[in-house]
Amino acid sequence: MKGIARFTLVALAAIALTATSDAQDKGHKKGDEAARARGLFLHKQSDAMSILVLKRDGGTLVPVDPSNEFKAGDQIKIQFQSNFEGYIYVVNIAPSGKRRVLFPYSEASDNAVHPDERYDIPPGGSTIEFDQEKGTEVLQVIMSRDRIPYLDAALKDPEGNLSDSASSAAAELQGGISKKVTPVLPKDEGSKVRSRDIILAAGKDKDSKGSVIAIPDNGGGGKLKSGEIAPFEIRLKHN
Amino acid sequence: LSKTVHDVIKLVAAALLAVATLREPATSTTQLAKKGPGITPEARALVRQAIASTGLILVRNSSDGPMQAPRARGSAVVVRSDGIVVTNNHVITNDRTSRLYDEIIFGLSRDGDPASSATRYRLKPLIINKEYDLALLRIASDFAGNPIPKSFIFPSIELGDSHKIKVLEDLFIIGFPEKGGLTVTVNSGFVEGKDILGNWIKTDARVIHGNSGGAAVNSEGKLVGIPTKVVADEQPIDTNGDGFPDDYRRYGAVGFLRPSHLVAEMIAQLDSSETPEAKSIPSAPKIVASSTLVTVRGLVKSAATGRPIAGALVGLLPSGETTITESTLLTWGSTNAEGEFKLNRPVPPGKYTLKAKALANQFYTTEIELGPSSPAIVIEMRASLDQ
Repeated sequence: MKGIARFTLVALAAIALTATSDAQDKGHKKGDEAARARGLFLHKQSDAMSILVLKRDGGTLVPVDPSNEFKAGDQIKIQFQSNFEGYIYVVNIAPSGKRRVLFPYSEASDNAVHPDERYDIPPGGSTIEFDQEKGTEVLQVIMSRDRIPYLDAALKDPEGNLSDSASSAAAELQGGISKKVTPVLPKDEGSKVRSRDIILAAGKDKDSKGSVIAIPDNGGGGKLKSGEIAPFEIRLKHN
Repeated sequence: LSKTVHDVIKLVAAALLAVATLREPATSTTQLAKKGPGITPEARALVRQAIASTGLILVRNSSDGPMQAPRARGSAVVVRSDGIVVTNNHVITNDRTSRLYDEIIFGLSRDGDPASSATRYRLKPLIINKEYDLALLRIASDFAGNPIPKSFIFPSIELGDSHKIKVLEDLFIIGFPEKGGLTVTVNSGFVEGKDILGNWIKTDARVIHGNSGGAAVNSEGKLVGIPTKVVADEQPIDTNGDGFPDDYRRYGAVGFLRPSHLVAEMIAQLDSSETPEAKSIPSAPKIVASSTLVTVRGLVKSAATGRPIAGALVGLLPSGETTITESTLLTWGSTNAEGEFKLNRPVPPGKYTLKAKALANQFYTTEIELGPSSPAIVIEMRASLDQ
């Protein structure tokens, strides 16, 4: 595995970008929703982010449709950008269920994201390479106004493994408040974190705009409040 | 009961039980007269090397007050250079609650004086064998919680073949007995006998409080046993001639060691359950030993759409347990893209509290009963605000 920063995505193929929120199935037609999502992102009318999946093609990285098939040896890079001040977490869920926090990077001292700044996973010139193991990988992306202590706690692990120990698993099940991390959320308020709906504009091949995920601005409430998160998934399948 | 009657009953009971078995070593025993071991200087040097692998176990509970310092509980030995340590289960278990202590600390020093120069580490239980009162632990971090570099090599002891040990062979007990001032203390004896069925090695070497979990080495400095208990020969005596026993006389004691082949089996069990990656990462899964264990599998999905929920964490606690700590969390695992999970350690059949949490912060709690052939568990999660 050459030029790989932190992990190998195990055996991928058809990528699907889906929201974890059940409400995503409802509402507007896809085309309208996509245009709306991109508009909200560009004009910062609600909290949103764009995600671009790049695949190595010869010596360059080219944007690809997240639903493309991947095969062993393919190398990809994830780029994202937010239009808000806050925190973004990217967690890789392997076919075995093992979870790793990919962003923020374990060595990062400040995991806040800032509007219009680009972030790469993995950082620098590194890429993620798919190995021979078949299965579905999930990249779970969480937009948040606050730090999420149990995800921050995973950064203490050199590999970013999440709940690899009994203490961290207990902290996560208890409500995401780890005694090793000073929580931003009020103590014991983990279970009251509210999950927001999102709308989606899917990325296409060779489209550098990538996919856009935005919080609907219904009634002017498109901004994440403290204690709110907006999660979604990039599902990667390799047959 | 009045104190007098109670004491008489206790003494009569003691008279009937000519030998009192102690789970923990006795605080004082009258040992048989010791013989000076006629070992060579080379053997003496090998035994001295084993001292560097033996450390002091200190424990603390999370409920202890901030001023409560970790307290000494016994001894432990490094049996693998990547930081695998063995001790007795009773050393790391709270007698009153039968639960593992929240913090298990290991003081290790080359000169055997943990009070002056030891490096302290935090241990995480890996395998608990209640039947043989043994526990395998991993050095998970330094005392401050900083991870140990993967390249770090701990001074480990070589395991001897306890199957081959013979009666009258020399033995050396290395540990941190309370009466030894909690600095490393070595004494010698010989193998008095073997209880093959009970998996014991018997010795006349002095074994007292604090020796538990330490090392019993042969004259090659190899670990052949773990000091685990003492059986004291106590006889009631009637000093005032009223026909009732009113005192004890201790005539001696036999030290009981768990043979090192049991430790080798636990290490083999650990090897079979660890991936190469896991070996290099300090982690702390617990294994609850039982002859009939249940592997817990299941599925987590959305109650609204039926879609699988990936990345959800599922864990089991003792039934009715509401506090989730590393001591109460028996086993756990997370779901893959299909929402499927398999918890990392099998558990005995019985009732449990099941907890689950999705990355998107949905929570789920239920009581379950596991049998030897329980079907997969299906968890339907609702959005966090629905709960």
